[in-house]
Amino acid sequence: MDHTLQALADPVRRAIVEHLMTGEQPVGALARRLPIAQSGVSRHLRILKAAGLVRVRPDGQRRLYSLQAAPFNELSEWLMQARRLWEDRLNTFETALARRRADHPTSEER
Amino acid sequence: MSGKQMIERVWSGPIDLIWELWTTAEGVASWFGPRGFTVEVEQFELREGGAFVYVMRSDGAPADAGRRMVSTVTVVEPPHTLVYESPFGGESMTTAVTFSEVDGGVRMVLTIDATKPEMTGGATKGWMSSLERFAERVAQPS
Repeated sequence: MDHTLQALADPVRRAIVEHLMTGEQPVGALARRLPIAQSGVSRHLRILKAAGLVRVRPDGQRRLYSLQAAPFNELSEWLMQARRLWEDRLNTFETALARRRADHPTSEER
Repeated sequence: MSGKQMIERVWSGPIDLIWELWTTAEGVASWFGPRGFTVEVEQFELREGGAFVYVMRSDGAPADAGRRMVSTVTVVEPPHTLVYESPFGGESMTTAVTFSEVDGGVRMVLTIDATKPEMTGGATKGWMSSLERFAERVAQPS
């Protein structure tokens, strides 16, 4: 999870992930759509690959990059958990608030 | 689930009491632990740069087991706005809550976003929303 977040903390790598959502691509095609040199794209792809976010397969002379679903599933699960945690907390808050109001009614409620 | 993590609620109750429950150690301890967890607030300094430290422990766990979260308060505007930053996967995450009086009570808007704001086409935004978009579009039913 931390590896996923660290890898995605960089805006260029997020842009690469965004482009890879349309399907697998060689590094050259990615470089044409990004404002950085191909060597820079390769470096970012290595980091994404090390974090398990992308995989690569040979296709003749080319190497095609694509996204791995597993870490994104994990991310999705984490985001849902964070939301559930807060929903749960806020329900408890509502109870705590009601209890406090019952214990200490304000003047207009008395 | 789309866009930024944002949760909205409307509560009936005086805004000052709601603010107190959100911004004092005793108030926070009364609701911050989700079901099955107990939260002990060690420190809540309600000022810019102040520390908000709590330990969350699952019920029944030994007293020394639990996770200590150390956050820093960045904005305090009683009784309307509270913002704090927490460590998050090597980066930091911003939790912001605002309260406003509306018909029928107090409207709360809670937003959670990763910081390190960046310039994107002239607009500053966090990257939590991209994380969510990725998760939505790439994640597959497993």
